Amino acid sequence: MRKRRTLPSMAAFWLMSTCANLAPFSVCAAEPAGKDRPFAKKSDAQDLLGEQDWSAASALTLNSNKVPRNLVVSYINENVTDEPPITDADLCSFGFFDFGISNKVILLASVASGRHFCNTVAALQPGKRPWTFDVWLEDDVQKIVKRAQGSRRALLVFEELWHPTSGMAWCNATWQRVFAPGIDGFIDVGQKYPELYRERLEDLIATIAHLDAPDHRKTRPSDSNDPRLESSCAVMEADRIKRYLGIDRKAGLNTAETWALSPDPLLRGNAIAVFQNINSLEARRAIAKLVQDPDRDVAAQALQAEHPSR
Amino acid sequence: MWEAVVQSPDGLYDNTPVTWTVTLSYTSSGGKGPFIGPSLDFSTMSAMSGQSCASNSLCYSNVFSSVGGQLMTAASATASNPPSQPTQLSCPVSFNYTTYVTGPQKAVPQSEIVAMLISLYTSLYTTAVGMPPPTPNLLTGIAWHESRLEQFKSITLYGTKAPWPIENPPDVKHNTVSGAFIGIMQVPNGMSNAFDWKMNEQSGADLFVNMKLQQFTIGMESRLRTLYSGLPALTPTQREDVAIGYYYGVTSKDTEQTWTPFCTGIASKTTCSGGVWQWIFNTANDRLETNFVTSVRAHLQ
Repeated sequence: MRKRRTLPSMAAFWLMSTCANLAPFSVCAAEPAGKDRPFAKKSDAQDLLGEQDWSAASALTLNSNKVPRNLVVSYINENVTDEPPITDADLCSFGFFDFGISNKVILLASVASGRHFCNTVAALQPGKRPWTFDVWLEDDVQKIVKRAQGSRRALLVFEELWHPTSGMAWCNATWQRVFAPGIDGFIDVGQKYPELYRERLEDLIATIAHLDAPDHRKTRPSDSNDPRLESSCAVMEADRIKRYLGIDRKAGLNTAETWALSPDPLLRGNAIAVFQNINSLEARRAIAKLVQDPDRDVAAQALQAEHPSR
Repeated sequence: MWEAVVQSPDGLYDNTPVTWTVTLSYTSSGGKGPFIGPSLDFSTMSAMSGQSCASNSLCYSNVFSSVGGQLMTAASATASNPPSQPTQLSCPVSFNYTTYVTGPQKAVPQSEIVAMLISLYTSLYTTAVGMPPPTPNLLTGIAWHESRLEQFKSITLYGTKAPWPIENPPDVKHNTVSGAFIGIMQVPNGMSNAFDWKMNEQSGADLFVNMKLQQFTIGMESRLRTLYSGLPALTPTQREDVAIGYYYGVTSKDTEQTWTPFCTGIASKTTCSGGVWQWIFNTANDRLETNFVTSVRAHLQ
């Protein structure tokens, strides 16, 4: 049995490693282990990080001892083998969290793609299958771990992309997801925690008020877009939460109907996403009308919304 | 142009040297930055002369190119006592002035933006892959999607409504501020990516070819071909599609990209019985990347 190394010695070993200092990790890292044979070949990262004390009691120690970023990068690359390897520059943030489900901590790491979108969160624990989540611009993992009310358990709460209007120069609608670690991975538990959606709804209402305030509109108009576009993504998510919580099953329908008449094709595109999510007879009729939209993107989007599997 | 004249009624202080501090900095409307422009050192610059300069002044001129933002100028002079008047007090004077260097009033012609994107992509792709790209104007579709092929648009920044670099809006959780991404290709903000449209295109083209295509796409293809026995190579056009999805950046998972393995027989994990593995355009679950690819290809310029 290997002797556990303490973190200070681990860091020292890391710094002394010529390979680590001189070569990219893709060179230093062990051959990636396939899903069917996890951890088949151990490397420095597996040895150094994987064999640390991951008990819940050590969360504070792991976090405060500042595990070297390079080590975390290498550990992610060795375990998450079905995504492009990352470099130090791609690691947005990381931390060790006690979710209160077992006596082990979980390493959460937010990882960026090339444009520095922190759009992947990896959850890792020695001996367990790694999990990755598609998130939307979640830079800081500290902000996506929340304690459930009156419970020791922690939850993973993040935004995922719901509907893109277009590229990054316009708003993108997102949707909140809530996951809890289970015996063999994470489980979607959104329905069990309506209070988290109510909190999010309050944030969104404040955001909408800010974006629609006359002072704000004066400073951030887009000359070519419908002025309602900027707050539309927040409106979409707020209305979807109202539907999700059963506050108003048709929330957003009337708004989307007015958006569907906007001269701005991006806003008409957002209307389609709302109609598709509501999926009532009225909503499907509204989509059918937009199949004839003069803008080819809107028409294509409506067609796809009519036949999602196409 | 900067011009300072130090004059005194008795003429004793007329040649007092002026110290200039000129700082150009740019911060997006959401607070991304500041990005600092090049410093101007007047002590190493030649003073101008001519009609626009007063006869007894020191006059400096500089043309700002590929940079912009808030230009703060401070000029100061301390008139020391001349030997003939040793009892007079020295007289420090200073002057501050702020102005703004914005984008051009006249938009960059779209034909130039398009031509540059085609040229950049063709050159980078050919260098990296060793053959011309299957879709030379591919980046024009991405640029259309990202910014409608615009580097600047009229917004209010520093209280000044003018053509400023086109910013991403803040996301509704405020994790990402306005102006974290910038310009035609919506690449990470910086002085040159914001005010130099050619550099912005270069950054986007580099990112697309060298990272999304050559690293991400080729890596994904290699990993999946190892796992799925008999899976053929992607065609160059299919590789472009996958790279477009990666540029969009919704997911990094190998099997959720725009082209994904498909078994023509019965699939069991990575085994395909009674058929072969092929690539299929990934329309499962209304993939956002796939929509992005379709839209990009529909808007090639």
